[in-house]
Amino acid sequence: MSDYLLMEQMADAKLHASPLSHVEESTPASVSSIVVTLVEKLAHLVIRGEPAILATPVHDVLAISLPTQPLQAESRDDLCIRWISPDEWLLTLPEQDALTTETRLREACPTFCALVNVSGGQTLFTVSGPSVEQVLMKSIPYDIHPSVFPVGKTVTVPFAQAQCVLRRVSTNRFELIVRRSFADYVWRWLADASREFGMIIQRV
Amino acid sequence: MIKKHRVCEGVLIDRSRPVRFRFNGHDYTGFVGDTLASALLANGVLVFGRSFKYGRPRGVMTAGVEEPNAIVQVGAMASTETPNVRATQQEIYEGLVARTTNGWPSISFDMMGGLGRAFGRFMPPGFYYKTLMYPRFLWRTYEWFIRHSAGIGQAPSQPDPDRYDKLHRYCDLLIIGAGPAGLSAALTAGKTGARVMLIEDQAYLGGQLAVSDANINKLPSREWLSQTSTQLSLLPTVELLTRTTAVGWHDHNYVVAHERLTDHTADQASDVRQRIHKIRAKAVLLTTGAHERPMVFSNNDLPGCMLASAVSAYVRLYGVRPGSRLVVATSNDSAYQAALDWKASGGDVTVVDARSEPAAIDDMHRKGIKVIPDSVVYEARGRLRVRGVKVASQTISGTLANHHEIACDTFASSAGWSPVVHLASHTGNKPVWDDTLGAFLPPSPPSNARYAGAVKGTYALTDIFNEAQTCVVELLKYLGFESRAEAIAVEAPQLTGIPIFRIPHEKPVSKAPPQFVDYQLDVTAASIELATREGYESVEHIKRYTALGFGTDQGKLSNVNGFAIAANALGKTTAAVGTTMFRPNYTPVSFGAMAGREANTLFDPIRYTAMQPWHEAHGGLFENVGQWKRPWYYPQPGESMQDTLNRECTSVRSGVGILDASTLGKIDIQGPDARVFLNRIYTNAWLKLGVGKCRYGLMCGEDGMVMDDGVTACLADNHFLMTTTTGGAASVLEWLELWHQTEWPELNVYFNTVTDHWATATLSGPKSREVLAKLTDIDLSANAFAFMDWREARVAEIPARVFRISFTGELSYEINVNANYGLTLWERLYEAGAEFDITPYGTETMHILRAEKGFIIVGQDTDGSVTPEDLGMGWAIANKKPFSFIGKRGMQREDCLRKDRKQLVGLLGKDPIRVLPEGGQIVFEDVAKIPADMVGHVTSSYMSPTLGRTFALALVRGGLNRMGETVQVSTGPGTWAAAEITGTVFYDPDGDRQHV
Repeated sequence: MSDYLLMEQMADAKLHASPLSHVEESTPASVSSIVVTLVEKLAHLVIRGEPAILATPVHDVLAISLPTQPLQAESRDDLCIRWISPDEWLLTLPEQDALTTETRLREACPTFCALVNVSGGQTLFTVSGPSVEQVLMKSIPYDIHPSVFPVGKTVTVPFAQAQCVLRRVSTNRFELIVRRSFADYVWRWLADASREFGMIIQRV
Repeated sequence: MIKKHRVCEGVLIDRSRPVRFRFNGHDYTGFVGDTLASALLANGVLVFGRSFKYGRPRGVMTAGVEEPNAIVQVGAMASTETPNVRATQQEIYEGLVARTTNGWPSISFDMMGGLGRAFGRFMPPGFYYKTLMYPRFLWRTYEWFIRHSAGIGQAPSQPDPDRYDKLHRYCDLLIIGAGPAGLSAALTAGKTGARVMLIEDQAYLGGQLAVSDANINKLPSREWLSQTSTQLSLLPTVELLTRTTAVGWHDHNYVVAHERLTDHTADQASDVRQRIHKIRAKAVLLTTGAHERPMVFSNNDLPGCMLASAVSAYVRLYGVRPGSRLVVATSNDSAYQAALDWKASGGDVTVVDARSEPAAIDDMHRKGIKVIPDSVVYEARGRLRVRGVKVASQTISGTLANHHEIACDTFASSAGWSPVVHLASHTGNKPVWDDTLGAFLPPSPPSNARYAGAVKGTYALTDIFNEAQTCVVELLKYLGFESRAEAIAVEAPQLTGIPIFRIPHEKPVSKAPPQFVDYQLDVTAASIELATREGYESVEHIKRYTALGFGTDQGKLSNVNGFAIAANALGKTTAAVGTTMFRPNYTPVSFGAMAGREANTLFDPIRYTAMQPWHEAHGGLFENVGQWKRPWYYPQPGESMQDTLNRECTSVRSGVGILDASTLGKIDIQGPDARVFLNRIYTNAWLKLGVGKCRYGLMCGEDGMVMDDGVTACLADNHFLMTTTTGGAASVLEWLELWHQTEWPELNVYFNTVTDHWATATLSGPKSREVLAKLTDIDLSANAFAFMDWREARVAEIPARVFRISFTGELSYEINVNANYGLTLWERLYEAGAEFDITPYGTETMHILRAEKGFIIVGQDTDGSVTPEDLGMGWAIANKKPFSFIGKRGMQREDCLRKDRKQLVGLLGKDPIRVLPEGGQIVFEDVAKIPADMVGHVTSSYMSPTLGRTFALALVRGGLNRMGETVQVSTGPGTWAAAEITGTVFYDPDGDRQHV
């Protein structure tokens, strides 16, 4: 246990400021609008290790199976674990559960793995609406047609000149996770690319 | 006027909806659906501009993308000006403003026109090289005139108000060209469920089918087109884009297409004006058709001379007949359509056919159309418009006989068809000459592409459909889709013809009135022959010498004629001469579309730290560090920059300052072998660093040169936090991964970037302990929390990691928190520091403070050619480590061990006020020696309020052994400043202040 530093990284909610805290919520413009939903109070945990070592601990601790097929994600309630690379996963979970989960995973892992809390380093939002594919086509050099990008598929791709983890949540809803310092750039790009459809901003 | 030339219903125009527009200052009216060319022709406007070199009046030649002459400037405002728009494709809208492209200094006083008319005969290819070279002192004058009369069109003088998109597109099958081949193939493919994109350059579908009398599946072609269009729109996986030009076909079926969304509706777009589609297609079917070739004969550029297919298009599509008496000169059957259309609209027409027995001759005579076989038109007459043509029969020896003249006001020619092979050749394969067809055909396609229809030299409609079906079924099979070729029944006349490239004149080509090949750049048959006589043999050289195909039309109409004429002059076959290289883009693409949304504030990502709102609210000015915005300094009202720096520096040295250090690269390193890994990556020793301790490390490349530096902390036995320079964050992570993945995969260690996760506020200065003590419970005493220690703590109720490290030489605490609380942390520290007059400082003050201590900045004091020894940092090299470290062998190379390498030293200018210029070259003594013996340069240089004078760091040859010597620093051309070599630590040399 003392081999790795485990540390509470969450403070009182009123001290919290997300990278997009300056973005103001807006009311519905039209049914065709792009809806952006900011999910700002989530813990983000990077999990690194061999799938054979991690599968059981992840299942035991999270009651969710570790996606071992590339570009897949598994979710349950407010947990979601995404395949990032052959030895990397990204877990999002309620903010207050981060340290407990990290500790339990660390304890359950029989041998070496790496767990890194990156909650402050990235932010998550969803983009939805009838024209959402059009907006993403302007931003992401990846084929997002439902025939090749079905619900659940998760990729790490360029977003304009930044990068995002993109997951299809439902037919017309995508989840994007971007790095904190790029969030404003991605946000301004998205607002510009959505201009022809109108845009609604929500927070959860 | 409009009634005179608008003779019938055109299928593309809506005569119930007039549209007003302006051309060259005159107001005109056309109809919805008109192009600028058709509307002006309908208004009796025949001259669209003057030619580039000779200033000859020019009219519209074509009805499509290949137009060389009717090139106009469109735009009602300085910001919406668009140069070099093809009037044949620009649809009119209410309020459109266009003007002639050429004609500086003014349209009425056309200097080049006058010159060209007067001296055209004396302006052969290479005219400028041959003539304007002498006398040399006049070159500036020549150049001014050349630059003002050269170029086609004018760039807009105001920023573009429009918006542009770039779309990443993917499909199974991309079909380029919605003529009969493309449309029928799209229908077959769409029915299989394959993802199909069909793109069409024109605003309408059908290509040549739009002006055809053929019947398809027992339907007139117009009805088949409309039925097919409806069927395609009902197929959910088919996307049809009109007004979209495939401009480049790159490797792996990556096709770039340029879509004009609003150019046909408004001067300024309400939203997106144009789009670039970056299409990655699994398979491509090229159905780009063919362009008709004009005949090359004397004065063939007179306004009123057009392509036969263009005459058909204007009559049938737009209801415009630009004259009343037409002569058609042809060597093939397709041009007879123009004669029939002209006749049907009530005009008078004569056909001159180079062939002795044209198949249609009897049918034409029955319809009242005179056909003169075995004859050619060798010269057109007229000044601002064609008034007649000289006709003669051609003898077997190639001379002319039976000269006579036919009066006319419009002339159409067809010398054959040139397949549009451009896209097929973009990846580097040259087209192949086919002697039978007299045409260049596309090179053989890759396995995931096919060509069908006229682009492949297949001109008969039945064959076009069959070929398209065969090709699409093959491609669908390749894609894994089962499909069946559709049987399409066609009733259309068979078309034959012979290619013809230049009509001889009574006089030799050099004496005859000019026979234009490239209309846009005034290249004549005579100039091509001259080029060959002057020794140019390669068609690429002939192109560059004569400017053949250099215009905005890239020789779509002219190149094949030009190649054939060159071949004839060289006594070679056209196949042997070949073509010039076809390069993207097929048509000009606006810069706006190329830039897309990556303009202005979206040109490049801007990265912000969590504290950005505070910096902005407190007057911080920003410096770009990579993509980051970092506070540079925080001026108060009335302060000069130096005033601010003096205040900020003094506050840190005597009180307390606060710096946003969030941008430093941070890498979380975990694993049982983390320590071993660090020992190999860094030059110094890491095996014994205890938990709770930090250490400075130098990272070198394999060449032994310093590439990054930073402090790494031991968080737990197998857990470290590495910091890197701001600019090195990404490259260092890649460096670690590279060595781990390729050289030492046996080491159990993982690296993760946490740069964005941790926000860092640095308190620095003698009072920083007192500020921090107000916000945390941990023991900050020098014994409990010493220099180069780190502690976990709660600072302002926020979980934090506090590092007692210093980049200023003062007592410092770098406080790291989850970036979501970074802004709060900063605000609380600032509040707590108020009673100590806490001063926010930026990168400039940070630079001064660190330089006073001789702390390097990698990339400023180093440049990739500097070893740790060169920096006087030999103490950071642990040569006794059990395993080698990266750079160890490199820095032991003979050259790296020289004693007279450039070494980092301090410089104190003899003039204590003058800041030596960074980058200033250094010489030891003789400043007058040329070339100077440059022995180094200034790397960092500042005014220090603490020292009360200026100081600098510099790399100087053998500098470590030259302490106290005087050097000269170049301050500009011929000016020098003397400076003394010193050590690099200017302040607190024993480091007492950071240890308190």
